[in-house]
Amino acid sequence: MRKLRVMILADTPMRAESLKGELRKSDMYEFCTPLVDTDVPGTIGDFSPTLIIVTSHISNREKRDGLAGLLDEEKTIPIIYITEFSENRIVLQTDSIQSSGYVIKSLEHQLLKPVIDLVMIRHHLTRKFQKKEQILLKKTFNLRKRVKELHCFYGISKITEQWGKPVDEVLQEITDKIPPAMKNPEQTFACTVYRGRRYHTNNYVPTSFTLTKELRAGENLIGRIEIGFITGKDEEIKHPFQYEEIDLLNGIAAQLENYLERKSLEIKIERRNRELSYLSETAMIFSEISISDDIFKVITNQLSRLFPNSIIIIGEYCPKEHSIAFRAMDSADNRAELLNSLAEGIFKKIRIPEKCCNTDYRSLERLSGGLGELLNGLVNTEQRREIEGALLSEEVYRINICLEDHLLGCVVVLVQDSADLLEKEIFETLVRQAAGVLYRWKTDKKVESINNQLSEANEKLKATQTQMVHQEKLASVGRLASGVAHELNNPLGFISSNFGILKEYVRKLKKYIEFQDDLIRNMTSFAERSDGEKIEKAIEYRKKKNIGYILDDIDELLSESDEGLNRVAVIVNNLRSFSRIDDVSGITSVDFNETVQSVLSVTENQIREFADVETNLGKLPAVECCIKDINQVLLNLLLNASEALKTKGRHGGGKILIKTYYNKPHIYCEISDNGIGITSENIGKIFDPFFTTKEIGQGTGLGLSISYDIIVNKHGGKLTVESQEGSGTQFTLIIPERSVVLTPQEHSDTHL
Amino acid sequence: MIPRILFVDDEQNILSSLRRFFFSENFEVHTALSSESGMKLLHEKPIDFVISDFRMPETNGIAFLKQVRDEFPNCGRAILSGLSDQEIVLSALVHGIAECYFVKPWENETIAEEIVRRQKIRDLLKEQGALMLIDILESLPPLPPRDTQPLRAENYDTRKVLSLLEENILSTLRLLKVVNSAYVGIRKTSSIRSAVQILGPETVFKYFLQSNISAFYDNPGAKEKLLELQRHSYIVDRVIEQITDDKKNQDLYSEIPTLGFLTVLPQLLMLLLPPDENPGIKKLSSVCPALLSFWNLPIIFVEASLILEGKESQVPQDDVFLKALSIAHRATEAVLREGYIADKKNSGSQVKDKSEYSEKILREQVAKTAEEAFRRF
Repeated sequence: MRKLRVMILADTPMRAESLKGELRKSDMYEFCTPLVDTDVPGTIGDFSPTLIIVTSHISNREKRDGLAGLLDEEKTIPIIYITEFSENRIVLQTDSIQSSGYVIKSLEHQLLKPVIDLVMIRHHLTRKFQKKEQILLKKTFNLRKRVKELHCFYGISKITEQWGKPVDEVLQEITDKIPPAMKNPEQTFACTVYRGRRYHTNNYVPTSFTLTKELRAGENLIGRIEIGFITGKDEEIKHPFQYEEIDLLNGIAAQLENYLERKSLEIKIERRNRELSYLSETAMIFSEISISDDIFKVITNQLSRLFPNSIIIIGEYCPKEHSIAFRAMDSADNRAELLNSLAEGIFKKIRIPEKCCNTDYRSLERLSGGLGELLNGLVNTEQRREIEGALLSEEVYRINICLEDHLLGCVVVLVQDSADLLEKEIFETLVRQAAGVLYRWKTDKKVESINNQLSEANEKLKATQTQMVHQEKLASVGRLASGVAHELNNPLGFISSNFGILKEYVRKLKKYIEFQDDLIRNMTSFAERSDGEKIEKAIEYRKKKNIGYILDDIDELLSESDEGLNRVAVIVNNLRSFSRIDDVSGITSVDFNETVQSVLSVTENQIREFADVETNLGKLPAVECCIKDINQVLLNLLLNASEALKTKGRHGGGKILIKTYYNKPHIYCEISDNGIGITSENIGKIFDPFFTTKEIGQGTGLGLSISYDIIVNKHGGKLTVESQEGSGTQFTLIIPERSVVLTPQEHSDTHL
Repeated sequence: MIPRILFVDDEQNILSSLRRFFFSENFEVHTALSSESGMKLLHEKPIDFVISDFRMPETNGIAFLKQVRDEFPNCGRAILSGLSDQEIVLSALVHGIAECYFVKPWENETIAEEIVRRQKIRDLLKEQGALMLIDILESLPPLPPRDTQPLRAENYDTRKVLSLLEENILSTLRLLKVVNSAYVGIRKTSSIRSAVQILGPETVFKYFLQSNISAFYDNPGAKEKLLELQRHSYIVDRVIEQITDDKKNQDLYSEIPTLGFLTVLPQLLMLLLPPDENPGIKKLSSVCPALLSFWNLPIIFVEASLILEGKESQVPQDDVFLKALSIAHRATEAVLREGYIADKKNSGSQVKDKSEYSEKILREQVAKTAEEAFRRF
């Protein structure tokens, strides 16, 4: 058993020895008896007593207090005071601080040993208790810390669980959650850097006293977390962070990495989804494309949806020049000029492959390098700056649009924002789609153009045929008409000749009758004459036969017949116009507008009844034509127009519009009315000779066919008609500026 | 003297009608229902003028009038027909078979006046011993176009034909005669330009610019002489064009008459006549007005001819073209006779007298035109 090390503090060595003697009866004790005046603390240090016994003889108060103060230092050593009764109070006072027990001097022989035992037991128990308490405290502290960390992790996981939350917000919130988990929340800031962006707590200050943890996605560094101390003296921050905090940071970093990985996957999936739906949509749009669409625009539009932040340049391959030409969009892109110069430069640089296959991935080229050459030779600084900007691309894609080894075009995408970076496959799929549709479009276009040519040729042929048929018709009618005219001219010749003579005869006869009448009137005054009865008979006969009336009427009769004869002569003349021989009017240089005006002034009276005439006469050059013929044509057309307005009338809004304009080398004259129009069954016949919708006797049906003949055959022009039954008719008269010098070659051209 | 006329037509009504009128107008009227009976009548009675229908059974009007021309050259001939086919009209007129062409229905007065007019001129020419001039244009072939390369069909171009006519006064004269003899009383044409428009360049080329030259060139020296006349005529026409240019611009519908050949007409006639029939240049100039009138040329030609003859007093009109013709003719004569050398000393100096100035300008113009003409011919 270990011996109890007892230090006895006594006033005198005697006293100490006496006590020692008291205790030595048992060999359980070792002693040390320094004098009170000696170096007690040093002795305590050397001896390291288990128990101190102080005798009450230490009367000097200061000494005692000093001793008490000294002993106070050594709380763990129990003290037993041996005291006089009177001193009890003091001892008790002292004891309240430190001592573990006391023995009244008078009883020391009996009680010292038991008290020592008691004090030692108590001391032992107290010590034990104290130890236990300490452990408990420590445990409590650790527990608290754990709770902080857990709270932090919990908070972070709570944040990261919010799926839809933007990465920015998530990172900021996580960053804010870090400092409270640290030992000194107030003194700590946190900062997260992810893909070049920083998120930090409000108390962030630049300092070198930081703890950093890198964030990685697989092998790649994607960012870091930093915690730092705001203030601190050097000695304090030598090791500002404890291992626990480092662990905590690692834990947070792991959690973040987890989150970010998940998030990037999420974005990828979303992107994939979008691309897929985009591709299917594009396929649909491409499948619906028609020949009339601007295919390059459609492709560019689709591409720009895939690359919203990129510059897209599309070129069409021209096999003839073996080069790629930029296809400018007609959109209101204010960068058109920039695109143009960019495209020009890029396409000049591009090496055009001899053979090209779309499945060859090499056709997707990076062009970033060397585009700077483009800038050389650009004088316009603004443009230069813009192009420089455009060339600062994240990536430049270029892909050939090919189909079955045929190069059709080329797409260049200058990606301006990393958001536009995408899987090569998607891009290629898209371009493959584009190639297909482009090829189809081109083929369709070719087919359409051939088709158009064919139908145009067909139309031309038809028109020529119609023209020929019509001309043939006119020619045969011309022959017929001239024959008929001849036949009519003979009787007409002698009728009108005779009629002239007849008029003369009648004049003479009337004169003779007047002369007779005068004679008879003079005779009646001699009623007694023998032949008076005969004269009366003659007078009676004159009355009976109405000779007076006849004489009056005969002039009217003659003038009516004269008019009829003239009308017949006009018709015959019209008929003869087909043979165009007796036409002695020459072709002269004419102000066409003046001609229109003069015809209008002639017909004004006739037209005004039915229509308002509006003119819109453009600036025309002098035109060489036969003015008499043109007058006749204009007259015919105007009278026809007013005829069409007869039922409507001027007050019914009848309107005739005459418009002239010049389109080198022809002059145009449109005469339109808003009259009854021409039925579709009649419109093909209106230029036919003798075709008329007027009542019999009202028209010869020759006006339009003569007009047609004059314009088409004589002047080498065109006369066309458009009509809508019920809403109006428009005739368009087109004559060449110089019909005079029409060579047969030109002539046949204008016929088509 | 009462004109004696023969009408030939296969329709009695026409003949009756004509007879009525002309009888009342104191003509001596004969009628025949066919060419054959007409011919018979001609042999029986003296006739001054024959007017025949074209289309008749058996012999047609042209064949009939040809026969009349051959047998009775001094008898006037005309066609009165309801047909107005260009081919028929030209075939009657170009070869001098008919002197003029009337169309049915006709105006009695027009025909009557024309017959009387022609008879008067005929009598006049007969008096002057110049009756042989009437058919002179038809008796000789026209000059060939200078361009010996025959025109191809697609080259029947107005400009080309006009430029050929400009160089060929005989063709010009014949063309004007024929154009104005058709459809008498309707309209007269005084410029080759409108004549070409009326007939069409193709027809003009065919009828007036293609012919056999051999007959004419037998006469040695004639070729050079003719060239000289053409040159003169050409210059005069160009100068008239130049000095009346302002006038032309004022009036869109006016045409510049082709008067140039009149300045050399007597010389031309002399060249055309055989030496033994030649009445001399003086006589020829004096009959020119009548001859032109007989050939149905517009009145301006007759007047111009009178002026060139020195008989201005007989011309009532004060026409800008007639004035231009006199000026151009004199200037051309002077320039061609004396030669014109631009006075280099004076050319830059101020001209005081205005008339002197215009004379000078005119002479320069003529000289320039002459130069061009010499290049062309």
